[in-house]
Amino acid sequence: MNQKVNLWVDKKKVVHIFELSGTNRKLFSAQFEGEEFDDTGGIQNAFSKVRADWNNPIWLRSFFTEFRQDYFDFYGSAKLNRIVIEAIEFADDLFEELAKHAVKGDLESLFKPLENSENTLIYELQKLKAKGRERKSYLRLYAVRFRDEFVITGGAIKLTKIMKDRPHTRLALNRLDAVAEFLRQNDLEGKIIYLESKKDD
Amino acid sequence: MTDSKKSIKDISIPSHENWMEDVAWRKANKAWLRKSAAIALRILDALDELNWKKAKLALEMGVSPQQVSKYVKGEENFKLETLCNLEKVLGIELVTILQNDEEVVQKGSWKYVEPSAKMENMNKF
Repeated sequence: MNQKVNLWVDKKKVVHIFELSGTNRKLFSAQFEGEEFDDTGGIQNAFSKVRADWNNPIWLRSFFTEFRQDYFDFYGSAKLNRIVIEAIEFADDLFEELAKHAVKGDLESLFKPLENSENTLIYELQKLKAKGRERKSYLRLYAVRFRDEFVITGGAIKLTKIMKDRPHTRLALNRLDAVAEFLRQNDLEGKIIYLESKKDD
Repeated sequence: MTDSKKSIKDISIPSHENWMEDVAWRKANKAWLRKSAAIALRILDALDELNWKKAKLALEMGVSPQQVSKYVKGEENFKLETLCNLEKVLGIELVTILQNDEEVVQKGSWKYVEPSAKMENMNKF
């Protein structure tokens, strides 16, 4: 394990919520302070940023160089370039799944509760995660739910069980908290906590 | 109870990015995009081995630094001419055409066996 990792991460602040096109006004993405623009000066949000990062060999190569040991501990040893190509494939698969679910109007079945203990619960401002079809995939998209609307807060390459253990997954948690707080401040809270309680299938 | 009129739509602004089109484009072009990413990674490895910056590669190839940035982004549909230029400048192999009686073998994954030893082994069967 890399013991030198700094676990302290800045608290994030939401600037805007973007409505993602083609999603029947059900899928949104947060934009965070300090991340409003990409390297070329174009406007970005958490979703466009994660797509750009996960399709970028340079970004992925740098990430997996830093967290190579986490990958090895979880999945066994592999060559760096193979890991990067695999990550690009997982990312394409995840975004294709998201597009498919968005078009079908079935985002509920893609986004699962962040906490496994909440598997049978649905409630407002619930923190959620989504992964692609590939069981082995370590890529996660995160979102906050309000009714049948979902705000993407970002993504993470999850190579450790506990999200608080690594700065990048800890950042993903901070983003989730920031978006839930932003929605709450905009009166999107709701007094009813449990909208639905499902029995195990 | 929650205000039934309030929704995330009320506090959002439209994104002008057509992400679904981009996802569909990557799906339709998956095969060559994988190869483009593999080439990008090989270029990055070679730059590390030579201890070159991207600017140095641009200079050696006679192209702009922006062009080199595109090469390593993993979405470049390379011309053969560009690949040959990269191979020459970086001293690496990027494109190999295998004949139907050839195959790729990883370095160190096979051992040369003396013909006499080979015959000896064959006699054991």
